[in-house]
Amino acid sequence: MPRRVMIVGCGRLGASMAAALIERGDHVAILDTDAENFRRLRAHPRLKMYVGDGVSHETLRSAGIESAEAFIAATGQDTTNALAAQSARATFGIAHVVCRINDPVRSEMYESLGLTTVNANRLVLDLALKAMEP
Amino acid sequence: MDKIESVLALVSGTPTDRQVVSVACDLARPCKGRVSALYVIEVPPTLPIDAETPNATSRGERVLERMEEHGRALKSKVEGYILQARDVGAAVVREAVERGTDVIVIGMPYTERYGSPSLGETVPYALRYSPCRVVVCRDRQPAPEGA
Amino acid sequence: MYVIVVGAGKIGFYLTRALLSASHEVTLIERDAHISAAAAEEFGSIVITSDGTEPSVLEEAGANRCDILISTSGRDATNLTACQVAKYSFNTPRTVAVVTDPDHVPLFRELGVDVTISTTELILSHLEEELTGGPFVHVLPMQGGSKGIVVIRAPYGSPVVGQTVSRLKLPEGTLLVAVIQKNGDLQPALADPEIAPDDEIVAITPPEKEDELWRALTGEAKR
Repeated sequence: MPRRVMIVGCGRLGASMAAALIERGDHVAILDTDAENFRRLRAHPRLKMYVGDGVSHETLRSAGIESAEAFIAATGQDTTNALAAQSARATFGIAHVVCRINDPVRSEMYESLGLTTVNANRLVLDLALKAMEP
Repeated sequence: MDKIESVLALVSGTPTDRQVVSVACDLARPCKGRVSALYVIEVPPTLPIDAETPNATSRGERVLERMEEHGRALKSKVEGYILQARDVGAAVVREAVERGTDVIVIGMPYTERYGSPSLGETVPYALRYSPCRVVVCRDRQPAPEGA
Repeated sequence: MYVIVVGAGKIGFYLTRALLSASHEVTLIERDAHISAAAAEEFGSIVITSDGTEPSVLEEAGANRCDILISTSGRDATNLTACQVAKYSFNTPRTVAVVTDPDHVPLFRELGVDVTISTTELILSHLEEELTGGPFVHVLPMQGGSKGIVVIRAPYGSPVVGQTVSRLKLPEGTLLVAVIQKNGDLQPALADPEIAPDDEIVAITPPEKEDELWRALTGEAKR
C-alpha cells in the first residue's frame, strides 16, 4: 500500500531516504531551504521537491502536509528537526513522525515526550562497537 | 610613586602566594600601609552565589592563616578574608574599587595551555579593568624535563 | 530570582540589563563568540559562550536551580529547544520563548513553553496603539494575562510632572517599576526620580486598572 511521506532536509540522509521510499512505491514530498541540495535526487513522477523552510507551517501546508501519512525530519540540525517534527505531530496530527536528533540527551528527552527519534551517531557507534567485538 | 596606603594581595593556595604576600608587605612598608589578603571561592552557576561551601571555605581559611603568619614573620600585619564570586578577576577588581586599594598584587604559576604559555583569565582581566596599579608575580618556568 | 537568558541579541542584551538592574541573578548564554564578547564587556562573568540548546551547557548554567529560562534568539527552533530542554530535562518551573513566526505560538504553548512572546504580534499591537492614539504600550503580559507591563508617556501638563515617584498616587494593585527619561536613561523607581514631561513610565498593572493608571499618570481619559 503506497503511502504519502514528507521529508524535511535533503542532505545525504534525507535524499537516500527519499530514494528508498520511491523505490518501494511511496509518494514523497521533500523540502530543503537550499535548491542546490536537490542535486542528490533524480526526478521521478512520485517525487516532489519544494524549496522552503520545514519549520514554517505555511511552507509545510503548501507542500501538502495535510495529506501526508508519515513525516521524517532529517536536516542536520536537531533544533530544526525537533520543531518540524513536533509541528507535524501536534499541529498537523500526522501519526507516523520520525525525528533525527544527534544529541543523545535531547533524543532521550524527545522520546519521553512521545516522539520517535533516530540518533545517527548512536547507530554508527553501536555498529562500530559490534564490529570490534572479538 | 605616590603613597601606598593599602595593598590587596590575591592568594589562591598556590606556591606563589608567599611571594605575593612578601611583595605586598614590601610595597606597604614605607607608608605603614594596610595589607589585605583575599581568597576568592569561585562558585559555579549551578550553585547560588551564597551557597554553603564548607570544604572550599576551610581550605581558604588555612591558606589565609598561613599568609597571616608569613606576614608576621615579615613584621607586617596581613588581614585575610574570603569572598564567594563567580569570577576571581571580577571579584578582585570590585574589591579594589570598593576598598580604595592602591595596588593589587597577583601571583600566577607558569602554566601552559595547548602547548604554549598561558596567562589564564584572572591576570589579563585585572590588568585590563583594575583602576589601581597591578603587580603580577609570575613563577619561574619549570626546568625542562631531563635537565 | 535566578534567570537564564538564551541569546544575547538585542532582546537578550537589554533584557539582561533590565533584570540585573532589578537585582535578579542572571546567566546569559550566547553561541556567537563576537556577540557574547560584546555582552561580556558589559555584564562580565555571567556570560557563557556556548549553545544554549545543549543539555550540558544548560546544566553548567544551573538550569536545575533557575526560576525561569527566557530564550530570545531570532530562531524559533532554537528557542523551542532551549525551553523544552530546560523544562523536561531540568524541571525549570517557567520557560519563556520569543517567537518570530506567529503560527508557532499555539504549538509552543502545547509543547510546554509557558509564555510565548511573539515579536511580530507585539509590533502589530504596538502599531495599532500608535495608530489609535495615545502613548500607551503593552509590553508583556504576565501570569497568564492577570498582570501586564505597560509603558505610559507622561505628557506636558500631566499632574505627575514635577513630582517624585514616591509621591505619586497610583491605583491599588499597580506598581511603578522604572522611569525611562527622555535622554534614554533608565531610572529605577527606588531611586525616586522626579518625573519630567515625555518621560516614559514603566509599570505593572492588572488589565482592569489600566484606565485608572492611565488617568493618574496623564490626567486624561484613555482614548
